Amino acid sequence: MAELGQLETRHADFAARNIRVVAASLDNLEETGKTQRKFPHLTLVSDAGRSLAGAAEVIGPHHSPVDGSITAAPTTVLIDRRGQVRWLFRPDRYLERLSPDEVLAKAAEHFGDGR
Amino acid sequence: MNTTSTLAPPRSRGRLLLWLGVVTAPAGLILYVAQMSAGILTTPWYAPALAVLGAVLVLMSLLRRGTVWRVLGFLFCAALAGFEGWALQSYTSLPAYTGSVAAGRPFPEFSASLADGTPLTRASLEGDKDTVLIFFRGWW
Repeated sequence: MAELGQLETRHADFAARNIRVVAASLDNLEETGKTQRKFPHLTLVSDAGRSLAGAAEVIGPHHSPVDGSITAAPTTVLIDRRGQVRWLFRPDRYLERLSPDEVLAKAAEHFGDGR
Repeated sequence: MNTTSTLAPPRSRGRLLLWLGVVTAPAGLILYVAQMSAGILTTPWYAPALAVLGAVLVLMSLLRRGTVWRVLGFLFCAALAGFEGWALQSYTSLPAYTGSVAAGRPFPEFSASLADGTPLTRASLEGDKDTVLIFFRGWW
C-alpha cells in the first residue's frame, strides 16, 4: 500500500502528463472500494476473477504471507492510449517498487509529453 | 611474585566491543520498521549486514576475554545475521516475468471491475490518456 500512497501523493504530476494510474489487485469489490477511498485519485481495479492478472500472466507462486492466498506479483506496465504495451517492469524482490519519480521518468521516455 | 588477580584479564577488556556488537546486530530490524513507516520500498540488505558487523564486534570482544555471556552474545548475533540473510534471500525473491505482455504488443483482452462496479476491459484503456497499470498485492 505504500506504493499506492506515493502515487496518490504525486497524482497531479501524472495528470499533468495525461496519464491515469490504474492499480489492480485480486481483492473483491468491497476491499477495492475501501482502498479506493484511501487513494481517491488512483483508479482502483477489482480483479477478483483474475481476468486481468491472468491475461497479463502475473499470477504465480506469489503467496500472501498473511494467509497464503494467491496474489498478483508486483508489476508495472505502461500502456499507451491505443492499448499498446510500451514497457513492463518486474522488480527482483517483493519489497522493491519503482518510485513515482522513476515511473514518471519511464512514462516520459515512452509516452513523450502526453499531448 | 605474580598473583592470581594480576594474571586474570580485566573484566572490562573488550566490554565496549561487546556492547557495540549487541546493539548493532539488531539495529537493522529497528531501521527496517522505520523504513516501512517512511514508505521507503527497498530490500533492507543493511539488516543482515549490521547483524554480521555486530557478530564481528562481539567476536573481537570474545577474543579479548572469553566468557559465557560473550559466547552467547556471539551466537545470538551470528544466528540473527544468518536468519535475516536467509529470510531476505528466500522470502523476498520474485521470479522474472515470463508472460506474453511485452513492449510493442497490444495489451491482452480482459474483464475486471472498477471500485464502483463499473466494468473495465482492454477497450477502456484506449482513449485520450496513457495508462500506468500497477499490480499490487491487495489489502494486506
